[in-house]
Amino acid sequence: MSELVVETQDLTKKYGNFTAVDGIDLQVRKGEIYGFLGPNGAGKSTTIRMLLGLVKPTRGDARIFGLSIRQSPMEILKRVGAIVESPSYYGNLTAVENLEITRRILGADKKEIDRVLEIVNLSQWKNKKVKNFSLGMKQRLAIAQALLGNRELLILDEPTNGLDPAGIHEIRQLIKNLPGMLGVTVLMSSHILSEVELTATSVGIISRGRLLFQGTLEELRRKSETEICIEAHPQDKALKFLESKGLKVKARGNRLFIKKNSLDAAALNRALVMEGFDVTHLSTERKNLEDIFLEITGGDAL
Amino acid sequence: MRKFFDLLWTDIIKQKRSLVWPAAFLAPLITEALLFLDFYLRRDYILNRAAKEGLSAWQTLVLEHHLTALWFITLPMAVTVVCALLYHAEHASGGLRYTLSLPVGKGRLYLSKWCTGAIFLCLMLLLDALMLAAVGKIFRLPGGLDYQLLMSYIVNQAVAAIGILSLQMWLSSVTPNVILPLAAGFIGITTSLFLAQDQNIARIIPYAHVLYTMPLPGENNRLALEGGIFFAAFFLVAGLLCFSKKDVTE
Ligand SMILES: Nc1ncnc2c1ncn2[C@@H]1O[C@H](COP(=O)(O)OP(=O)(O)OP(=O)(O)O)[C@@H](O)[C@H]1O
Ligand SMILES: [Mg+2]
Repeated sequence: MSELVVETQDLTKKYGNFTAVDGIDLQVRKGEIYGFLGPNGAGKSTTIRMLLGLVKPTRGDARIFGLSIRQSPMEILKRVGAIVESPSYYGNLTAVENLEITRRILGADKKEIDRVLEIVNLSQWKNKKVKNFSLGMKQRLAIAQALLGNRELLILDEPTNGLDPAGIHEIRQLIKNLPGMLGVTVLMSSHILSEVELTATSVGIISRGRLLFQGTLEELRRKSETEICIEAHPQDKALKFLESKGLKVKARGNRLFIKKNSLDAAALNRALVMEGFDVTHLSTERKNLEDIFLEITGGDAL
Repeated sequence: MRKFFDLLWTDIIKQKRSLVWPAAFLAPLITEALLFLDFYLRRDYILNRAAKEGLSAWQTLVLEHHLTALWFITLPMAVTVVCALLYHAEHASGGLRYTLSLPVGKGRLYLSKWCTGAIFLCLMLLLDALMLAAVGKIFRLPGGLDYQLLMSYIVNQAVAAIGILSLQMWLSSVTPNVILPLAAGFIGITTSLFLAQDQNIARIIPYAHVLYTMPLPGENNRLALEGGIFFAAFFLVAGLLCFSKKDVTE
């Protein structure tokens, strides 16, 4: 197993009686893009705030680069670039002046400012006051700030929020290339499943403060079993017949569903027809990620 | 240490093109304009009256500046506004969560902000003293410029005002709502005007200390100095502890 860059144990945050994050054990491996997926209010931003030391955990600990966020926050933050929620900026300053603040605090090279402006395509606006920026431009600036210096871990909270379709595509592409290009690890939150599917290599699914799934995208997909869907008449008799063959059958509406496993659909069809049923529909259906997600989160839509 | 100065530098840069500058410069400018008007209209009357009370011309200038031109109110008000604006820059668009996700530390950021406030306070007092001296020169006050008087006036004010600064920095840092520290400051200042006449009460109200900073005979400067130092230290520590524990959720 490759080395863990982020590892949390029982990480919990309560606001009064309300548990925003409930005993989360995150594991982010070096060099991967970890998609932190969850519906609105799931606790993604709160978790990220705890990782960055902005909010104190009620319980549990987070280790980044093997260091505890409680004990060595400064050593950690030096090596982490972050965006938390909506982009942060100083509106009365220009893009360059905003980046200069970051550069000074990190003690990074002067050339870094132009480099990151180039990456996010803001060079032509660099001397414009940020309060006059569009939301997408502010988001780009926030990404530029997160990239400035030699960061080993990027924690990006909904990085494509507010961008237009071209911008979303561009930033996703950028994020995708980061591990290969710069050797960084990315922890990226999102409430868009397809976004995580397109960019991430690992996924953590959070809902109502709990981590419900964690693993690679492959492992998530494997959860999607194929089912055989049959419409046969009369339905109740067909159901009894199939069950008498030792199959687990579920009736939903006017259709019957059977887990595919190693079942042969053609043989099943033949058996039904031979028995005198009218088979009007037979198909094999694979649940998509959206269905799996809904199943995992218990119906909390994205 | 170098890193702290880098941080302090960024805190000052954050105020580029912000309202802190006009706030810090207008306060002394308006006061000096009032003082100028005061001397323009009744220079001889003021000086004659003061001479009867045994005050020198420059001491009279300080007296008029402090009371008639209302500097004893304007200065605390200006400090209140500067503190609120310094934190407003952070609260306005997520600056706090951004800066604190860099390797800065809540305690150091608080100190740096406090120092930024102190720098603006000093700028304001220096500017005011320069203009005060200029008004004295313009009206050809008898006797040379009283450097010692001016110096102790500046020092007294700085010490008394830093108590207010510490308190207002704390209030401004706890809430993202800029109205609250402003309201607290303004209410504190105006009520202290009534209470400040009684020295025993004035002693425990930081807003009242500026009233006691004129280096003139019969003035209780010790009250201002002791109170300023005590409250500066007390509220700095209180604010620092409070801010270090704060959850940055805005
Ligand atoms: N300061 C706070 N006080 C009380 N409750 C809070 C506070 N901050 C967040 N919460 C609650 O904690 C829960 C998680 O919020 P969080 O911002 O982490 O969600 P999120 O997953 O980032 O959602 P989104 O996709 O909308 O950004 C929400 O129900 C929110 O109302
Ligand atoms: Mg969020």
